[in-house]
Amino acid sequence: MTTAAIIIAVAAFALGALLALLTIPILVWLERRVAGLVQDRLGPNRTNIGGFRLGGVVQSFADVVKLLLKEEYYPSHIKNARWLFMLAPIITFVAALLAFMAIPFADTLVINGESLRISPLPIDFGVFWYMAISSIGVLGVIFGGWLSHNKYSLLGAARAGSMVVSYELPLGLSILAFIITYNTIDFNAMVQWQSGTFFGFLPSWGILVQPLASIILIVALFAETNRNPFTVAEGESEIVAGFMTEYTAMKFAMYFMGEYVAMNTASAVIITMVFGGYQIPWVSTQILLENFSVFALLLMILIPIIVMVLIRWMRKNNTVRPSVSTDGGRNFETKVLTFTLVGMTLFIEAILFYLVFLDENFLANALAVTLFQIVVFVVKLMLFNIFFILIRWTVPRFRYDQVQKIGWYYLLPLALANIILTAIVVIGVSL
Amino acid sequence: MLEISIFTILATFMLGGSIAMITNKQTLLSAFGFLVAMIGLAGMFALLESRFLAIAQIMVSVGAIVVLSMLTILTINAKEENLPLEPNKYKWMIFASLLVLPITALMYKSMASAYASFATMETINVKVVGKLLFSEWVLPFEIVSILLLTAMVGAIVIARKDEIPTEAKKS
Amino acid sequence: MSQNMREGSITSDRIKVTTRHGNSFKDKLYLPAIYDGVKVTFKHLFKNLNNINEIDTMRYPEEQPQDISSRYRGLHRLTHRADDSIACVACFMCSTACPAKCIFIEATTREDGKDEKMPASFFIDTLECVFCGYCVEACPCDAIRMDTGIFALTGNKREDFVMNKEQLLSYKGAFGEECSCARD
Repeated sequence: MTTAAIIIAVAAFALGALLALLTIPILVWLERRVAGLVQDRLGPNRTNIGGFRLGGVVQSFADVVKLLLKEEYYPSHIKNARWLFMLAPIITFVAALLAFMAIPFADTLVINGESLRISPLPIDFGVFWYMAISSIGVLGVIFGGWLSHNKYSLLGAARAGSMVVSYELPLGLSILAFIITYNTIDFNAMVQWQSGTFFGFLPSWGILVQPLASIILIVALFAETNRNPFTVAEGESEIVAGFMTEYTAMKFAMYFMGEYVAMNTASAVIITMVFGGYQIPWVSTQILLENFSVFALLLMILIPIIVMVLIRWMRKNNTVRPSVSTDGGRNFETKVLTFTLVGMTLFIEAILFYLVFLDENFLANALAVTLFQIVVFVVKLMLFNIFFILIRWTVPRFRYDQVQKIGWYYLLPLALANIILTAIVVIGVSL
Repeated sequence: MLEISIFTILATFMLGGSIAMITNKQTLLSAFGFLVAMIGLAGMFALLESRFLAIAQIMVSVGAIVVLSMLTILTINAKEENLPLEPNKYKWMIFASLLVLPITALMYKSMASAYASFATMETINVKVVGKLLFSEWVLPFEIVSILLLTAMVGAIVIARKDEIPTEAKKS
Repeated sequence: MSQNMREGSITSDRIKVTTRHGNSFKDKLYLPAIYDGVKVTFKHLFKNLNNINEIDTMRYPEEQPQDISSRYRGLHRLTHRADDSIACVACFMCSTACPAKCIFIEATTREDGKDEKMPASFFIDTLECVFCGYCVEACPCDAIRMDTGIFALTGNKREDFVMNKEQLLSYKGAFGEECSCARD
């Protein structure tokens, strides 16, 4: 293993772990804040460290501290297999985390003739791995529900388990349709396939090539992650907290985090298969590498514009109303954040300037393209997470029999018909 | 050295899980033992460089079989008092394992000689398996799918509620 | 009862026909409805993101609620008569009327000769109190009122929430008269 391979592998693993774990507080914050803004109210905006509230992200860290310091106890009516009671949330969390590790963040980096994958787990059977590992996650729910020795938990676990199992069928069948179209089970090759065009001008993203399969995939992934409108596991008005009723402190935190990591993974899979992964439309990695100076000049113009819009927005909105007397450090925070943003912009501009005008280093160009693709991936991931959260506050919950009806009566025949149609089209086009 | 330590850990999982599955009186704990044994088996497949079988093992055994047996256990919801008593459990287990010993010895002898040929195969990946499955082994594949279809139809027929004739249906 | 309906005919004026919604193809598809819903949600999100200070949430504690009416049942207070003596005659009607049993009175003889009794100690456990106002209705001397307008009670220990006679006498009324309106 050359040093470049080792460095890239460690860096990709660190990035993957960071992305999966650091997005948890950000997702918790986004959920509360977006929920508040959609419902015409403020979300959390008071927790601060020395005046820095950052829109309320600090509240999620306060949540983490609270969950860590809560009292750990086991309800006394659980007499047997307490170790399994504690292990159940860990199964869910680890399964969701492992499934995230197979997603590529950027295209393969070619250094000195050897191509390295930029994903935490550089395997070439990514889809297979994702489907296998994500089906382990439901076992944590079932164990937790049974061992809680509580009729609400049992109901929640049974409903969640059977819903997840029912929706694995349309999920697998729609993924099969994608495999037939892209002709590979490697996530990276799927994204590379989506960089061309079809019918001349449309980008050949999954949603345009396979509209029915992408809709089935999105709906099935909403159901797999127990996310609204499919929250039968923790129907907040029906069965208390479902299978999580008897869990406290760190064990509850594991379930909570596992749910957000699963949502993150689902967003990542949807982006990779349906929305073109880490790419911007019509531009493939090859084109980026060849016209690097044009692309870097465009970035040099775009980044200051975006940062200026952000600073103007912050100046306008990080203030308090005239009727409120003290401002709690928001002016200071606005000044410091402006300063930081401007500093970062200047730094990035300097690097891009150096790369475009002063030196023609192929390796630095390739690294810059890789970093840009990682940034595009993270932005798309956050946009999709916001979509998941928006749908939660738009669509009312389904009843349990409606959930099963959708899965078996509507999605399954549609997915099967889609596979037949796809197979006919693929064979017909290739003849 | 690394291989032997990984093999030891996986073998502990498999043996421990299987013994837990047989000796536990509570159904859910024995299902957990089954889960651990299957994960150990998937690890063994991966250790033998057969990635397709490892992932397929996780997908089928853990993701489908264990989950469905859990759902059955949840639905049946047997209480502690209704489980069978099982007196002299360990004596019967040792006696049964002694009874099966000749077959075990035979299996060990036949597989020990076959191991040498396993070590020389090339890495199996999914495309190779797919092509073989649909060209050379298509008849067993189709027969297995008919078997699964029969099982599914039988389950639906057994589990279906009979139609109760009501007044409205008569008109 | 047979529910058969012949096409296009309503046989009697005692039959009410309800149209069932949700049977058109567009409704069954459910996705156009989700799209309309997401449009509304998105509009709210962007309108509120652009103008955070226009959102109608009250910024408590800097902005206090402005709509406390005179009938609001806030914290209790004990009233004085016009000559600054305590109005309460320790008749125990308020503690008998209280549904949460949170008023504890000890009576003693009165020094200034206006009536026979006065409370030596008067405890209200505001953690048990349901703020129903029965004590105010029961009092024959207009001695206890709930018109202070105080809605936020804070304390560090549970014992801080048990109000004694001195505290209750010290609160000022926000509405209504200062002194007791009963006969002198």
